[in-house]
Amino acid sequence: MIEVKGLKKRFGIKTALDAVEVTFDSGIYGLLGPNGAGKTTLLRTLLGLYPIQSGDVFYDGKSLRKSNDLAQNAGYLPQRFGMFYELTVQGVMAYIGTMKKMPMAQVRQETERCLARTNLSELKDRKVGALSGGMLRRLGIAQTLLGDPDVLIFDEPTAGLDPEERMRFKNIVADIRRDHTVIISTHIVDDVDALCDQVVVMMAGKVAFTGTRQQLKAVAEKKVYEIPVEKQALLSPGAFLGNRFEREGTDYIRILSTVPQPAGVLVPPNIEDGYLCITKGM
Amino acid sequence: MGVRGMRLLKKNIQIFCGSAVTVLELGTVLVLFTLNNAQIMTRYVDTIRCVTKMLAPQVAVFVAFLFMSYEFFFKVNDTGAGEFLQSLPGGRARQLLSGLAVMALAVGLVFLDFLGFGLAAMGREGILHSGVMARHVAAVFFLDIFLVGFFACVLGCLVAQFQRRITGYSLLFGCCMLFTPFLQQILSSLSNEKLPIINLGDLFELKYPLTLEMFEPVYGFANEPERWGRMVFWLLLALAALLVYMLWRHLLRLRWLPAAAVCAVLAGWGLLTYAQGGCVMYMGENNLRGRDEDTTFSGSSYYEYNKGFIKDEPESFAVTDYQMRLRLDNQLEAEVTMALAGTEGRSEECYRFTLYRGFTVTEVRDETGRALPFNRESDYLDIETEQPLSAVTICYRGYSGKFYSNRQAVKLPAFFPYYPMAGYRPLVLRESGMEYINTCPEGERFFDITIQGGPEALYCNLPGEDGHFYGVAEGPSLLGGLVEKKEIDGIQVVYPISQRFLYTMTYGYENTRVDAQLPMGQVRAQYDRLCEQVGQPPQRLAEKTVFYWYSSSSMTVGNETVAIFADHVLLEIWSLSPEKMAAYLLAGELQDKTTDDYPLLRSTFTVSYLSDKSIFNRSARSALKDIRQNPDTISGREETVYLYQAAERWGDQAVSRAVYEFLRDRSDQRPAAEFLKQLVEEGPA
Amino acid sequence: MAARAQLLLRQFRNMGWKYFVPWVLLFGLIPLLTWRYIQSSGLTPDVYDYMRPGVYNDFERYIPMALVWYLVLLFYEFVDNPACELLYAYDGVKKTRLIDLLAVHLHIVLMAALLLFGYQFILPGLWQEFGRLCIILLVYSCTMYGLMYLAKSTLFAAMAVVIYHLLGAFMWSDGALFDLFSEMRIDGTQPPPTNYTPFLLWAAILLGLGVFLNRRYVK
Repeated sequence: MIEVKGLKKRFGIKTALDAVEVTFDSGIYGLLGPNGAGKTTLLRTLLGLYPIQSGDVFYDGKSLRKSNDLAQNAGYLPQRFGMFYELTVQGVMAYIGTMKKMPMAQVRQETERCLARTNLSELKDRKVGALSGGMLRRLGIAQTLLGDPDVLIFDEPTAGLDPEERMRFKNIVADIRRDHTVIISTHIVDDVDALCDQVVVMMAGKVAFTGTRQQLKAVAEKKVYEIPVEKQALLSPGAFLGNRFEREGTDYIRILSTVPQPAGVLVPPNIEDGYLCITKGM
Repeated sequence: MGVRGMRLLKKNIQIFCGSAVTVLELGTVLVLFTLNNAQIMTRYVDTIRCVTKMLAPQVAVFVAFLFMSYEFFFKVNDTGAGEFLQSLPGGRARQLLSGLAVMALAVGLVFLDFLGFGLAAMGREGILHSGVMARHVAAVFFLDIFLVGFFACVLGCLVAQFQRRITGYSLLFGCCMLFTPFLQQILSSLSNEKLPIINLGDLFELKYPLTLEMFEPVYGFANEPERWGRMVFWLLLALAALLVYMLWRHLLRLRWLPAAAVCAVLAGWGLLTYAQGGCVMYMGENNLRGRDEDTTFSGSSYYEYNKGFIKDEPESFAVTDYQMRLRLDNQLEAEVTMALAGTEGRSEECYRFTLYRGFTVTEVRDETGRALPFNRESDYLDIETEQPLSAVTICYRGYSGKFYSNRQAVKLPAFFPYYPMAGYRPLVLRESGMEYINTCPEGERFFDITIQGGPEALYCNLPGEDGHFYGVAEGPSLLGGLVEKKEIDGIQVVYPISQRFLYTMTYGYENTRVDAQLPMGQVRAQYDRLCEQVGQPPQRLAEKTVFYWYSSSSMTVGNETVAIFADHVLLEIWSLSPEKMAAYLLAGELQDKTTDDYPLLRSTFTVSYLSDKSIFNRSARSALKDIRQNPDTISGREETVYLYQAAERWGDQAVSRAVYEFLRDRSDQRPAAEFLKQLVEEGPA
Repeated sequence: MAARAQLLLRQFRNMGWKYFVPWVLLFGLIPLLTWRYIQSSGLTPDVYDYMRPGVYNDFERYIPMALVWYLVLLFYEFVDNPACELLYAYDGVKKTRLIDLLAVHLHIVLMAALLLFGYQFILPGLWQEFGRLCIILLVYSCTMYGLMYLAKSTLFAAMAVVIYHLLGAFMWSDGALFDLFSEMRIDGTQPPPTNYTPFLLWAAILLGLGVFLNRRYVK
């Protein structure tokens, strides 16, 4: 279990984390938030990349200020992964396995397992530089799984991936959800919807929401309308325009509004609606 | 540049300033160069020396901006700005131009830093009024700082197009190897006459040709078409390569293809300009270049190994009239028509002339315009004809390294055969093979010279202006470049704009700051006094133009420090007190005895004994003291010791006259030491 | 220890074909230049004395550049690569990476030693220049290390060192105060060791700076 208590982090005059309080237990957590919300800063602090300035983080009851057991038991996939382009896939896995202080025999075994998990077994002798973007991302996921760590942290894991790769990632994560703490920092709400048990929404360095997907949806209860596009002018002030879509030949627009909108039809909310309500302060 | 362009420029400036690496690199470069330039200003007084020292780390500009530009453009690509802009019409091209504009601004800052210090040096030297000098300084900084830096930026941009950083780094190192002294040194070591690969390396030599201790104030700095051509070639080639690469990767639209083609064509023009070569101030690594020629700062060993080409065979005819049409571009091109006297009834079919070997003769014509066959060997030209000639026209082109002649500067003394001279005459003293003989034995002739091109400020001893000079003289001396002409105390003086204040190296006056613009009235007075002392009627100094023929290398006025003609004087500046200058002028009258120990006696007598008696006496007394303790120490100091003893015994004036007479009398061939001993023992005749 | 050696080996393997460039430079180009000196001066009895300064100049010009090359290639992954945060997160090695620095440094020193050992057979006594060469290499290693972590860029560090090297090894001839090479051009006499104290002090400061800045990941 990871407990974050009153964590603060500043970079010069900019406050990146402002008294963050959140707990990560077993399961998959989606970490949502706009750019600059502090998601990456939070993850890096958990991993010991940034020192804890104020507050504390506990991993299985032990403070990370004393020693970072979390980093030793974590697998991490950063936003940008691409290194050692002249080494083979197997070589990079062996390198990272050694960095994770795994014995050599275990490294070999684990490499085979993780590459098989991510469908990279046939490419183990290919140079990293020759991999496509999707394959490189899979390699990143594979190294995260090395040593079967208790905690898996993914920072924007599906950014830039095609639908097939994204589906593959979701399947991998779904396989390992039991007995692991998985934290996925992402912009893509669909991924959160598909995978995550719990959602944490961050804004401006603070935790704006913590709860289940259902609870996130409930935030937008009775605030979501659909209205034909041509009736947009009839909207009362205070409406936030969401997605536009087409149904049975008619263009509709989905709106969020705390004020009743008679021109529209109230519809059940989804996760994205809940997220938008939080970020827009509705 | 519209509003959109300005916005894009601002965005790019933000990206530049947002990267710690580029800001750090630019900041470091600016701070270090500023500090370096400032410390140079504290150590040196004159502009020429200051700017030369400032240019020493010029190669750092190339490396710094190469790496800086790479970092900047890689970051731009990394932010995805380029990819996004590609979707907009002309977006990618605008981004590229905008990025290059930002880098040009950065280079511009460094350029302005250098220019500021250069102008400050001029201001401190009191020559800020000189537009010629200011333009020259600006031009050399523009070429060697701005264009070099901008070329590095374009190159960095090109390398940054490769996706992987580590590939880019390797290419950057490769560029450093190519365009910095690494390549020159390697090729220079591997090169020889059979395998002159260093000549190929010259094309990559962007470094300013530098020798830290030698300066040529008349010439200024190397700013020749060859250097501009090379720079234009590389810059436009890099631009063309960048455009072609981006077109190939479909990052630019096809309408940029003509621009790439234009860049390539202009690059070719630059290469042609470079290849034309010509008269340059070269101090690079290519030791094959001009190895038989004098360079600006050193003599060649040509005559040492070719003593057979030091000939002295006068002709029976004389040249009475010269019509010279000169063109000064990247070298000297000339068409000289000479009227010949004494050729009536001449039976010889060969007319012999002397013309410096650096000039290639292209055509010889007789008075009717008929082409004449000719033969060229070393400094000599033989013209073959069956009929006696009353006039002959010779067309030639070329240059000398030491006595340069190009668009930028001219330094052609009358004694140097840059124009054909009748007969075979030796250019240098046979003994050393290095010093030029600085007299014109033919007497006065008529010269009509028309000069096209060349430097803005160009002066001749003959009367005239705007490139047309004519009159009667022993020979025409041309001095042009960073020079000014002024009348000082009734005497016309032509002197270098910079290096006005020099530090003398004369014993007792070391590091004395002396104004080169001497009060000529004092010089004249001193000169008259010396003439009286040696019993010589004074030469009419007021009717001569004085050319300060200064160079930090020696022997640019031949085998003496001064060359004296009927209407002008060429003076190498070494020490500048009126007494010293007068002494040198007097020494210039005594050019007849040039062998054995006569030159040493001449210089000891005029420059030491006549010009500064107290220092001479002190030196002589010190020498005598040493000799009493150890007689062997007289070696090299006989002249000083004997002169002193003679003067003590027989009186100053008598001894002065006796020595002067001895040095003038060609028939008296006694060794100088023997003469002096007799003078001490027996007194003046 | 074995694990650390494995990591180092993989890091060198990651250089690919670029690893061999310094080998070509040191064991191909330098002997070629030496051969040219011999050819151009002929096999006279004093040819070796004649070419000694040139040979040493070649050593000091090209060997330090090989060091810069290796340092950039190796440290790129830890400094410039955006993915380097991964390596900071995993605690497998000391973040300061001093062992990596030492490995590259020793690698070049051994290459230089091998080269000079070979030259001993034709130029006896050239071996005594090895100490002075090591000082240049040490100063460059520490300077690059410190600047790399100061600017978080191997490019900046390489730029600074390459510029200094060009000016010092090729251009300055009047012994500027901070010219490491002005001592190297004195033929015949060895400058006293204290002459190098300022440079060694500089190296120590830059090394310390690098260690201090590299204790934590900062991006």
